[in-house]
Amino acid sequence: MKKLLTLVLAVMMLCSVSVTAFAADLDEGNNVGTITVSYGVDEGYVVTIPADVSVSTTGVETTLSASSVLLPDGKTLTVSVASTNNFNLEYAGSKIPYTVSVGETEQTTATFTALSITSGTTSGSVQLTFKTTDADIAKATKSGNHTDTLTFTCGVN
Amino acid sequence: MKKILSLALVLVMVLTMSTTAFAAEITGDSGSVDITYTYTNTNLASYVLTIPDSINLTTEESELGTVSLDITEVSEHKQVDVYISSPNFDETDDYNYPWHLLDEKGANKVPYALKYHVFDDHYATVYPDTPIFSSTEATTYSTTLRGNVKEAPVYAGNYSDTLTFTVSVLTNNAFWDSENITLTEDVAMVNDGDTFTSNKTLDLNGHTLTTSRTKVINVISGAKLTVNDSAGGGKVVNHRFACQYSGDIEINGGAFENTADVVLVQNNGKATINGGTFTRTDGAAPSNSNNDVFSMNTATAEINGGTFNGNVLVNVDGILTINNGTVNGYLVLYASGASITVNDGTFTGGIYIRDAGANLTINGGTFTGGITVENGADTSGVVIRGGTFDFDPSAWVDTTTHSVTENGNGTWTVTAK
Repeated sequence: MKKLLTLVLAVMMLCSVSVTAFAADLDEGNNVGTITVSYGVDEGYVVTIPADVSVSTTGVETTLSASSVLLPDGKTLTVSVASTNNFNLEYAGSKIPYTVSVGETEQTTATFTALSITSGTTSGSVQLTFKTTDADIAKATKSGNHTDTLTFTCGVN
Repeated sequence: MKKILSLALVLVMVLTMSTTAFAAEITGDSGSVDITYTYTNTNLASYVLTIPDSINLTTEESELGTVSLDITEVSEHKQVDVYISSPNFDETDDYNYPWHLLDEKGANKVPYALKYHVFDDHYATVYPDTPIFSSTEATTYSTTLRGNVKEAPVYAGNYSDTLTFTVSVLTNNAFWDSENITLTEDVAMVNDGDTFTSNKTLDLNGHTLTTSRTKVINVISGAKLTVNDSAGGGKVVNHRFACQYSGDIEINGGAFENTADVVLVQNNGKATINGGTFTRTDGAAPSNSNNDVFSMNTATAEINGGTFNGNVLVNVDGILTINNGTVNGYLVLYASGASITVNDGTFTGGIYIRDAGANLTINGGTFTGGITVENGADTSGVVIRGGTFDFDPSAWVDTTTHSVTENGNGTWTVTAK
């Protein structure tokens, strides 16, 4: 069964309770006073990545998503993906190549940006498709559980 | 034998607070004295206003702090008002959340509500032009502020607004209690409107009577308001004089500035303008409507002088006679039944007839700007018997009794044969 690991990278909205002090007195010699009214919204987001994927020749579809996104105006949240084995499933020196597609686009570099969300947008998702072929499977030199590790990295720039 | 009437003695007591000279010596069985109040804008008030250091908002409405006022002294005719304002106040989008926080860039706004406790569990929205508290006497006052942001913004960041608390000590409407008032210095009035049902004479005496936004003075029930400026240079700012229900106004001098019309005469009111300068200050571009400084309907008025830097507008059943003066705006006949007779004067803004059934008779004066007709109106009610024009007025001249002479300099003159 497919497992989803919800990775809570950050989500915080710090809205402090009211704080009142009584120090600024106005009188006939000083009849104007100012105070600051403030409200803070901290940067935050939740990115959900697939925990395990069993690659097949028919393709396995998974979802990479972000929610509760709060970014400073003008900033972008990016989620990049890097393959430890350069998109090869490996076992004891035996390799089975596979591909990863973001939407309809097959990725050709070892590290790629899978998801971008600009400020003002609070959520987003993309479909990731993992796929191998019979020809690639035939390249295996050993039987066994071939694996690769994908690293998802979030950044705000 | 000389008689001193008890009436005079009473008046002596009443007038001890003012610097007044009057005749108290009566040679017959009865007599009268002039009652004059010389306004002196001295002594204001003593007070301490305590405000919160700062306010932090949440999306949930909550108490934000307390505003306390301790007034220990208020001078005669003075009123202590407490205002809260912000340059980011804007009720255009949502009048329930008219206050706004801005992010560091000033690019994104977060609306918030700001209320103050009125009574029981009732809170009223704070508006910059409405005091959260007013008093004409020594007292203590305290109110709790409440508020919240409308909803969390989509951008992270720190949002802030600067609230300005102002205690203003202004002259209240008791200023007008006396029949004759002479200013001895500038006077800043409260905004609250007032209604006169008895005669008043105001001598600006070279000083300024002002308020922060349009204050309406209603003159009704046969009362007459006379405004003089004996010293010259006097000014009235942000006042609108509405004469109606037999109310009467006579203006002999002074510079009047307002963001709306200065004089409104309607419902059988009456106005006589012998002098003064009347100017719109709302920054509106010259227009044949919504730019009037003098307007009237169902009333009579006479303009014998003065300068009108805006439109002079006559609406339905208004009857205006202009014997002199300068109108640097449109002369407007706004509706059927409007009637203007011009005997002399200078008119630089043109004539605008908006509705059919209006009558304009010109016996003299200097006119530039032509005649503009809109809204299905026509110029059938226009009769010209004299004056100089920067357009050919022949269409409105009975040439059997009057002549139109082209002067060769772009003007035409109408004279009787």
